[in-house]
Amino acid sequence: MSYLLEMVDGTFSYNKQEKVFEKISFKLKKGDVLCILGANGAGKTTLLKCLNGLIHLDSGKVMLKGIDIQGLKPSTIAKSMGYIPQIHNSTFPFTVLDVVLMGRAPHIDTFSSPSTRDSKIAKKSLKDLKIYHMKDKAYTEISGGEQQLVFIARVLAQEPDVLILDEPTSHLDFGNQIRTMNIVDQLAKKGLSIIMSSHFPDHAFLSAKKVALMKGKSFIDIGPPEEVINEDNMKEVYDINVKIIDIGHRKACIALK
Amino acid sequence: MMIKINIQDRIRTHQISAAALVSILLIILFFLSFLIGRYPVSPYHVIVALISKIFFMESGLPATVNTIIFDIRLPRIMAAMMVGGSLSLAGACFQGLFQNPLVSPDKLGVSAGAGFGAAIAILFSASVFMIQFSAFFWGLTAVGLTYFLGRVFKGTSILTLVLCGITIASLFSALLSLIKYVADPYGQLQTIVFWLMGSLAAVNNQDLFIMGIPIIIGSIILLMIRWRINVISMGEEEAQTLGVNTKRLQGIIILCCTIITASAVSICGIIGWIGLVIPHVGRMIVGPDHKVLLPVSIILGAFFLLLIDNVARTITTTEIPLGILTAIIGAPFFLYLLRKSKEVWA
Repeated sequence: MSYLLEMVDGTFSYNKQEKVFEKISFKLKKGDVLCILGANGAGKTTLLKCLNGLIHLDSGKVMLKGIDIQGLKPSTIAKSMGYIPQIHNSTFPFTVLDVVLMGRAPHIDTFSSPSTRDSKIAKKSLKDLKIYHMKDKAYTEISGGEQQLVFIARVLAQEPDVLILDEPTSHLDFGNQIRTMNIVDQLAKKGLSIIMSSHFPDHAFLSAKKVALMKGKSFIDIGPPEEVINEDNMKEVYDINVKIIDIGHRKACIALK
Repeated sequence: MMIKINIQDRIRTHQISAAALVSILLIILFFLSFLIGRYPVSPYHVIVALISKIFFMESGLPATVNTIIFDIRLPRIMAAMMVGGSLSLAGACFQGLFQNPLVSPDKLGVSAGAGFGAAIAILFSASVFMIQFSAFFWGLTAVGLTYFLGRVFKGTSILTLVLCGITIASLFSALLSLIKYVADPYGQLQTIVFWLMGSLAAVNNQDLFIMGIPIIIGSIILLMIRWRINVISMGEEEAQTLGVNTKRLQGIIILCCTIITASAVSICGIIGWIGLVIPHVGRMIVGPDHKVLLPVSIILGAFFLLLIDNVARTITTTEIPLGILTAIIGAPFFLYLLRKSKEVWA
């Protein structure tokens, strides 16, 4: 029971023939940050969706706090697990506060609306991310970096134990990428378990405790970033040459020409 | 800090005052509508008649005045408000569900099905009640088919459902054309064409009662889940990660909207544009939060159709069908909205 999230021999295919991934197993403890690296189309997003029960495994299981998620209601899963998708299509210009309030949905009965307490929690998570001042702005009219903060605030208002982030830095500028990684780091220190996918091996050095390399339907390696992110592994996953250098307080992964 | 609180207060005050203003306008229009018509009724008569009805007293007014007020004008006024309010409520809900502000409540084929149902009943010279029932039944059947097809095609995306709706609607309008083609051009065909153009002229108290029950039940359920519609309007997958049972919520919204629209259409024919345009007006006034938007849409829709129906009653000696008026007023108005509020629903 010490594991918050666990995948046991997870196998998935979209058409029952060609497997996207096969027999993947890993475990996540409180405060862990697992970063999944892999080339485009390796199946990272699919794996994350299986963890959240959005799509179902062909075989194997996902255990949330020791319970198979197969039998759980969406609201029960959402109370313990938050998810930020890679792409969000906006339609209506809800205010930032309204969007963050939606994070309270799993805690609110179908026929009810958010209470004052829900509103307080939403406002607190806006304050935690220092974006309270934009709570009345339309979330469609703020920058991509600010939008990402709004979605993080929403997922925090959900009060989960596990956070799933699908390429949280993919639409962000350099500064916002690093700031997002710092936020991930802080959240993990507060006790959240985080699993994210990324295209930047370097980000794993910044915040991850564990890195998994996804290639050819499974993890080819999993472990601490310092061990997993090496020149041979990067060559295998991305087919490019990199150099791992030590910059004092951390290592860095730099692409060579 | 203080300034920011004030801004939010001002937004709230603006919303509340706008909603209050529209409600007051609706009440005034409600009273004025009694005065419109060939038989003159004075404001004094209306007030006395309504007050004595509420308190179960004898009004002491001439019997003709009482009949005009309660059996002719009141059912029509109530029907206009009910149909207008519920169609724009259903429109707002569908626009949220389909994450598309260009969706109207008949997107899944309810109007096409109801039109076919009414036409086939008229073809067999059925009674008025049977025409209404057939319209209602076929309206629900059309949406049922759409929903079933959406499921068969494993339509995980809401787009599949809309495409199935368009297919079913065009199938039913082809069947409708077939009925028009075989109908007697000097009797049935005219009836069918007039029915399709929509009118509140024939509504009586019994119709109002039969149509009112499903409309009110459907509307109450939609109003109860109105905050959840915010969540599902962020996208099906995202709503699911927020703990919403999206399939069930989708089913509830589609069922309620369909029952509402089918009831309205079966009594007063096809009245387009309201379900599409009014929610936009609502969003311009109070913003996209369905918690506020839905009640405001009901009030606005009731106001709009009552106004249009009054115009239809008075502008010429023979009544102009409602469907024509809503389109003539709705289409340019929609273009105006499109220009004015591009950023609001970009």
